[in-house]
Amino acid sequence: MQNDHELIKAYQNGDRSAYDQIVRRYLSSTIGFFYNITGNKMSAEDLAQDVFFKLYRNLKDFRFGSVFSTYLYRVKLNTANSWLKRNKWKNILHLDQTPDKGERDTELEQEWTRKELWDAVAKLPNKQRIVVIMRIAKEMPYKEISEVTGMTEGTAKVNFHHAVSSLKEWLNND
Amino acid sequence: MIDFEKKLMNSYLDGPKESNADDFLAKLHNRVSESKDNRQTVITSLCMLMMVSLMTITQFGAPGIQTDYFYDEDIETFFETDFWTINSDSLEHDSSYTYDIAYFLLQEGYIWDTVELLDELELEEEIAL
Repeated sequence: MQNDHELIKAYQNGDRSAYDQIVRRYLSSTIGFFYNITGNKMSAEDLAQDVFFKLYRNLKDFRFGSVFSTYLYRVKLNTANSWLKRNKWKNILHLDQTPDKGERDTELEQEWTRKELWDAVAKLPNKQRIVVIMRIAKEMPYKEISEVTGMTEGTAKVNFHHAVSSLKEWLNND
Repeated sequence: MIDFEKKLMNSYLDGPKESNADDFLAKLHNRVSESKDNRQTVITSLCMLMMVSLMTITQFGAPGIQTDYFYDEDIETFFETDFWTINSDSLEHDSSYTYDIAYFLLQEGYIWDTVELLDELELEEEIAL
């Protein structure tokens, strides 16, 4: 079984089936990541499409400077970030009139819905939002967060702490 | 604070188990080919736009078509400075211009010049006959 870098090399040499293999390998984790944010399978698949479409266009310039999963994670993070910002504007402009509670709201979320949580996350400053996405949507340890974002573990922890207190304030007041 | 953080962390959902990779890939390839087509259309449109712009820019300052026509006719008929009119007789084209010149000279008071011009004209008519 070929590893990620071998598949990317094959894709860069014109083998399209190598790209398909990469997609198959990371599809479920990517959809799962977005499912945690959107709570909706269709939206999660749409966002996953965006991610793999970006990969299709940019993977030819991949320079093997980092692990592919980290690279992919950055793409997912940027896509999620854009989606949250877009949603924030939708909420401000009231474009989305019907409340979307997602397909699955667990019992733990009785105090707030998934939509309310991620609407609140969208209001956070950029760095805090990124750390929260990685912690909540991926349950990523701080060490990995620092690898992906380039910030130190301490900075990631501080950002998460500030984010949590803001979220607590916003969600409990609603 | 810690409770709240736990609740946040517990809101993690397992992704949907059933995701059809073949369907997903088919959609993705479709999107990729659409994007390629769109890019091709944009490039073609830009090329055409550039060509039209270039053709328009190169025409700035060029004389109008009517002016050209007038200018050519005048030179050919009355001054005969072009090689391609060397064998043509100006009288055949337009003799009224010469009479206009004669009238103008009379009005300006150049009587002898007018007589000379008319003589020349008559002489040319005789030669032509």
